[in-house]
Amino acid sequence: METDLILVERAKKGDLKAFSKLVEQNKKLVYYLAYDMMNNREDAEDISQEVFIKAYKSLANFRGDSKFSSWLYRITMNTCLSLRRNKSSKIKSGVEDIEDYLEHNLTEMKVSYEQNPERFAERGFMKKNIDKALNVLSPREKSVFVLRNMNDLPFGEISEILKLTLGTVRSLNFRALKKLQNQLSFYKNTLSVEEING
Amino acid sequence: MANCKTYIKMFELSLYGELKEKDENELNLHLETCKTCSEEYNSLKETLELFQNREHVEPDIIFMESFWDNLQPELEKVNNSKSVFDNLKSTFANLFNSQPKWTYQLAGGLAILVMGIFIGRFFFNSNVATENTIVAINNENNSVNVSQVKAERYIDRSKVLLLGLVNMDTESENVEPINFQQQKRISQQLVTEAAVLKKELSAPSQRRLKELVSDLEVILLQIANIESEYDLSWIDLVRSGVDKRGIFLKINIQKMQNTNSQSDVKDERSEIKNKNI
Repeated sequence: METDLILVERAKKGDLKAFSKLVEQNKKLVYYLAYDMMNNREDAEDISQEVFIKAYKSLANFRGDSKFSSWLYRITMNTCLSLRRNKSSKIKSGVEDIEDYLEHNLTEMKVSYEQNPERFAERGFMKKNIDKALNVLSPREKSVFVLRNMNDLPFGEISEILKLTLGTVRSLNFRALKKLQNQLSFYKNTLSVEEING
Repeated sequence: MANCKTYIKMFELSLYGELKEKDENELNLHLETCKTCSEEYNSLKETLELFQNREHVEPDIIFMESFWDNLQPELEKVNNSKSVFDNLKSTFANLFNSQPKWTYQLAGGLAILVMGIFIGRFFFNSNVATENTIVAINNENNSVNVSQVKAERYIDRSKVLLLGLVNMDTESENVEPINFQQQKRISQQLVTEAAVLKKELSAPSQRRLKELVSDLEVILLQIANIESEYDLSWIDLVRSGVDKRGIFLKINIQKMQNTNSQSDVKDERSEIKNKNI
């Protein structure tokens, strides 16, 4: 079986077949990460395509010091953060700032729950609102939290991907967790975790 | 409360199962007894589980199936642009590799030579010109100065001689025979020198000086031709000649002009140097 490094070396020489294997192995992971970061199917699709184009263009820069997937994650995070920056500036033009925007959404969630607790408990609806809660995090907090808790990457690899120290990664993750705890506390008092996860 | 802080610090590692067994047991014991810490810990754990247990939103099947088909044309474009760049690179490489080594060395040498000429012309030409100007001025000034100095010395010597004769008391009754042989000899020397000096004073600026030397020559010629040492009438002739020609006035004016022209030459030289700098 060909390793990532062999495939990368072949792809560097313009071998699209080799690169297609790398794409096949990683496309779903890239999509998941893009979706977690953007909370939007269309953005996730565009980003996952863009990530592989960017990766192919800059294959010469990949020296094999880290895993190929880690390198792809790094490109994905950068692409997501770049798109998110553009989007947040658009949101700010309509609402005062991102905090106000999220507070508005969370209030909506609370009202929905009070009006129809059964519907609110539906998994799809809950997931949608949990994803929205993620937007309260800063870009770095969200990056760390998503990679660690939603994509199951170890802290060490996240540290490599985001070029942050291990201490910073841990600190950002715990700060993110505390923020999410505060944001979601209103319904956790009412609904058990078992109910939420079905 | 300080006790609680210690355990709160353990929460993160415990939530990710990274706490040492001994610390984990201690934390569990504390959580059993401390309601605040227990509630906080459970709240964090529930929040975390909410996200950790969350299933990924699956991508659209059609999108995933056509993922490569959509990507491939873009990657082929990248390949084409890369190959165009590579072609250009190899064309340049071939162009340079096809020539023998000595042609580059020759071309390099010529380029350095041309650059050297250009730099030399551009940076040093004006300096050479100014240097030449200075040298020319210096040469000219030197020749002028030499004749000038000679003339000055000539005038000084003539002046001393004439002053001695003009101021001589010829009215006194106790005049003893005076030996004028030395004055005659000096005058003859000065007359001989005057002929040479007049040729050397050829510069337009030396016209007045030349005229003065000529005037002095005439008077000195009279002195050089004294025949009788007892007949002092020739001294009166010399006096009247000095007065008529305004010899001493001319000598004084010439001295003043020389002083001015020397300071002018100094100014001119310093001006050229300043320009050069």
